[in-house]
Formats: sequence, C-alpha cells, structure tokens
Amino acid sequence: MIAPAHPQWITRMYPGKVGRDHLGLGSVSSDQILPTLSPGINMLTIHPRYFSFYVFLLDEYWRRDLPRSAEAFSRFYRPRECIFSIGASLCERPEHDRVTTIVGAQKTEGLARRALPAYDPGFNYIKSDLGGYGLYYRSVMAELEVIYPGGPKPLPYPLDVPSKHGKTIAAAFRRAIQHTRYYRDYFDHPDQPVPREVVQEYIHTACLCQLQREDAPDRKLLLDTFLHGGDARAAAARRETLRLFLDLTAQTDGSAVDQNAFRQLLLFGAEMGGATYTPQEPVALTYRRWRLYQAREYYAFALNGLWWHLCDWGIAEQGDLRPLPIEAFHEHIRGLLTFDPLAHQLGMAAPGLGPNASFARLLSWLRSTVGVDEPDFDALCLLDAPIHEHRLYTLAYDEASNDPQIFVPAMLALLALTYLRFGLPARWLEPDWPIAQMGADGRLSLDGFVKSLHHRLTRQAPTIADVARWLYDEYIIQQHLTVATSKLPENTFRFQREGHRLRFVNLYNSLQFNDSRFDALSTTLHELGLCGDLQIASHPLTTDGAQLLATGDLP
Amino acid sequence: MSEVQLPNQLNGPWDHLLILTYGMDLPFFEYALLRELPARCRNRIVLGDGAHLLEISEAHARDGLARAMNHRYVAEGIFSPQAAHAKLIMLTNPTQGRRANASYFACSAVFCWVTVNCSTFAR
Repeated sequence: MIAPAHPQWITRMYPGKVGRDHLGLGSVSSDQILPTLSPGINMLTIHPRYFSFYVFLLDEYWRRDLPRSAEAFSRFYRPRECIFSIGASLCERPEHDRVTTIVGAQKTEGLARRALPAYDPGFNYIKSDLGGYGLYYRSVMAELEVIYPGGPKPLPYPLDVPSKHGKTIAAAFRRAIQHTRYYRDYFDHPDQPVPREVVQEYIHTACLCQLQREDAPDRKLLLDTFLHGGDARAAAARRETLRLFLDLTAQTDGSAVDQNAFRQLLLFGAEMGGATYTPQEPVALTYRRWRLYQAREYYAFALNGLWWHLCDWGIAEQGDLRPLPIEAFHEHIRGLLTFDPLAHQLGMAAPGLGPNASFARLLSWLRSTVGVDEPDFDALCLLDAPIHEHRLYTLAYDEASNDPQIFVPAMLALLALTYLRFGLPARWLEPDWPIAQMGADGRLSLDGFVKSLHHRLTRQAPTIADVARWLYDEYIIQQHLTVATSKLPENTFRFQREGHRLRFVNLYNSLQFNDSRFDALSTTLHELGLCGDLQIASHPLTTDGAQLLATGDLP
Repeated sequence: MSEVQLPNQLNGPWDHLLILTYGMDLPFFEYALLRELPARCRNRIVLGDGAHLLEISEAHARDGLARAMNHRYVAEGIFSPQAAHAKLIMLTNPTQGRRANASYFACSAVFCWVTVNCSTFAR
C-alpha cells in the first residue's frame, strides 16, 4: 500500500548565521588561556560586590518558609534584583563615578533617569529568570565556593545554597543594609512600590561602588574569597594575576590605562600614551604568561584578517552565485604579495620583496628594521621600532585596510613578527610556553604555528607566496571548514568547499580582538579596595594593595 | 501546500537508509543529518557521483571532516559515463518505508528550494 504523494517545497533550514570566532581562535583564549590565567574572574563578572548581593538574596530565601523550587526562588529573586538595579542606576555616591555594566541597566537606567516618585519591583528588568546571578555570576560563585550549586540529581541540593563562607558574606552584606528602610519595610513586600528616596537610602550602602570603602563589612571577606576561594591551584593563579595587575597599576600611576594600552604594555612594556611597565621579579613568570596570551591575540588577529580578506574577495567575485576555484584565490593573493606599498605606508624604505622572494628574506628585512640578530629581536622590537605588531594592527583599522595591497602584506608581516619573537627552539622550553601550546587540540596554537613554520624554513626555502598558500590552505580554509562543521546544525559557514572550488555566503564579518578581561580584573581590584581605577590617571595602590603586591597574599 | 522539513523525515522506526545524490556533503551528513536517524538504523548507505566522490575524498583526507565515513555509514561512488545525479532518500524497515525523491537536496548545509516528492509505503 502506498500513500499518495505530491511534490512539495522543502523548508529552507539551517539559515546562515552571523556567528563569531570563525577560525576557533577566540575560544582558545576565552575557554583555555584566560581561565588558566584568571580563574573565577571572567569578562562578564565585573563587580565583586554582586557576590555579596547574590549570596545575600540566596541566604534570605533559605531563611524564609518558601517553596523550594526554581520558580519560587525566581519569584523571590527578581523583584529584589530589580530594585537593586534601579538603585545602582540612581546611585550618586562619589565612588560611583565610572560604574558600568550594572545588571539590568539597559532597562532600569531609563527608569531611574525619569526620577519616578516610586518604583515597581515587578518591573520586567531582564529576560532571564535569575537575572545576573543566573546569567553571569552563579558559575564563578560556585567555582569560588561561595555557593553550592543545586539542581536535578546528581546535584545534592534541589536549589543553590550558600556555603558556610557564603553565609558569612551574606551576613556581612546584611549588616551593611539592615538599617535601611528598604530592608526593614519593603524587602518582604515585593508587591509594593518602593519610594525613590527609600531606594536611594538603600543603595547608599548597598551599591556596587561601596565595596571599596574601608568600612564596607563584606570587603575583607570578598578579598579573602578572591585570594583563596575554590581550588587551591586556581586560587594561586588568581593571586598571581592580581599581583601582576597591582604591579602594573603601581608603575603606571599617573597615566590612564585602558584595554588597548594594557595590550601594548604586555607585549612591549610601553604604550603609546607614554606609560611604561617592567615587571618585578616576583611577577615575572606571570607577566610572561600574559605576554604570550597577548602575542597570541596579535597572531589570531592576523589569521582572522586573512580569513576576512578571503571572504571579502569571494563575495566581490560573486562567489555566492557560483563557486570559485581556490586556485584563482591563490593567484589573487600572489598579486598582493609585494611589500613595497606596506613599507611606504609605514614610512620605510621599499624592501623590494615580492611573492617569489624567499620568506627568509622577509624575515631578514623585519630583523633589519631593528638592526639585530634573531635572538635579540624580541627584546628590541619595541614600540619605537618602525614596524611592530601594534602598528600593523592599527593599520588594519585605517583607511589603508581597504587596500588589500597593504592589508594582506601587513597581516603576513604580523605573523612573521610573531615567528621572529617566538620561533627559537630554546624559547619553547621556557616555563611559560604551555600557554602557547593551548589550542593544539583541533584549534590553531601559537606553538603549532611557530614550530610548523620553523620546520618549513629549515627543511625547504619557501617563498613568501608558498607560505601564504600554506597559511590559506591549512590555517584559513581548512580551519574555517572544521570550525563551522563542528557548529552544525548551526550554519556559520562563510564558504564551503565544492571540490576544488569554494562557494561563499554573504554575511557580516567582524575583525577585532577578543576581550582580555582587563576591565573585569582592573575593576575587581579597584572595587576590592586595592587600588584606584586604572582607567583614571591617578590610581595609587591602597595599603592592602601595596601589601598584596609586596607579599603576594593577604592574611 | 505545506513545506517539508527534510531532515525531520529521517526520524522514525527505520532500519535502513539509502541516499542517492550527486554532491556528497559528508560533513553535513555526519554533523547534521546522522543525528536525526534512530540508533536502530544501522544500515546507512550514501551513493553519489563517483568522480565527485574521488574529488571530495582527496579534500577530506586532508581536512579530516568526514571522520565517520565507512565507519558509521557507507559512502560509495557510482561510476558511469555520465554524472550520477539521482536524488533519493529511502528509509525502510521490514514492514514499512518512506521515500523522497527530488531534483536537488539533502546533503548540503546551504539548502536550496527544491521540490520533493515524499511517500510512505507499508506491506
């Protein structure tokens, strides 16, 4: 028996998505390197006082005779975080000057600006059931053992519970706010509007910015959490990174440092604004690890830049309408591998390097710009060199980046600089090198790149065009296909192989660094009362900060 | 007339799968379509144009994207003087089956609008 059949259209499924990290390079930094360097502080957990506030809410919930379910906790949690969010947007304390990334502020900031006589705790301030706790902080609070996570078996508790240390933090936060009218008269009545002056009185002591004050009852407890919480090895790594940041903070006092300056200070020991940094001996190894992280960011930027150019070329050549031969792209790239336009753009003498020049000549030219032999290159190729990573990175954002005659050689030169700094076998034996090896499991490690290039340069005499072909075949085309395939059924392909051709997809591509956690780490230090705000010129260390820098720990 | 969500057509109590296609996008088959098949469907065969299979096999030998080929399913080429470009999905068990034939489909993450003729049959 056969059921009748009719022709039908099939649904267009798996539509192309913009996606991100199309070569899988960013995930190595965000999922492997940065969690190793700064465990328990990530780019979204900016404010340490949220630890106090959230564990306080959790503790208050468990102190009441309420149903023990995720829904009941959400009902308890949301109105109280809503008022906190409105309050933090209303805060006028002098310490609040540069507090950003308040959970829910996208909606509550506008509400606060209207200066309403009273605020409704039931306002839908965020989509997520558990607001900033569920979205950002819960996992790190569990990692630092402020809470014990709950949920379906095999987890031991049906809901999250405060740890013993977490209860102490909650009690300290309670001491800070227990005399406020909000806590006394409104906290247990989430259905009642809260007058603006009540919210303001509450946030006067509860706000994120108030933790840095010496008299904040939860500050020392949170300091202890960040210095010693969770796994002992992770806590040690976190202490080392905080100490490194304090060293950098102390040496740059007088100059504002933002993420861009931080990246330059890591790689070059100086930044365009004039600040300089030389790590003290106790933080030297941590500094070298962070420096390798930043070197990898430039390396990743160069590869993403080459990928970006391939996608750009494919769409310009109408590769979304019919597949284009890969060989045609290689020919296109050959035509761009002349380094004179790049040198001209940088104000340097033309090196006369073309696609058929050996890659070794390109390396020689780069070495000659700082006038040194290979072993000294890393030490001498600094911000005052005529060509260095940051200049090439900046160039990519200039008008010149629209000119592939400059852009493609610049990205290749950036990779060549990476090789010159880290391509010496002796360097691979140093104790910080495991950072460079991260990403070896199916992604593109810095270690793999410099070793593969070293192997090629010692066994063969590849031309610049040979190296470009190798990079495009193995580091760009194959890697994108591998990464996009691993994300299926989410379709983030920008091109797909059809035999020896590529069919392109016309979707937006971005080209930028990934977050270095600089904002989160510097804000954490500042709000824990260890130093001033790094993004303001004057950012001296406090007594606690100086002691932590000197001894590596606090009692 | 309603549209067919083709990958969902693979769901069901099937023991056997046969796909005929021209271009074999094996990574797409492995990462997106295989997961739709029930565990009991052990006999999975994908046949495509032989010359095209040789071409993509060369690429996959380098990129490693078709890792389950000839392990979790059989992929083979049809070598004929002309291109082999029949398009068919057949799913069967001892008592029933489902067949979809079309002008262009299945093994591509970049789906096109195509007509498909789905029918079910039973003993």
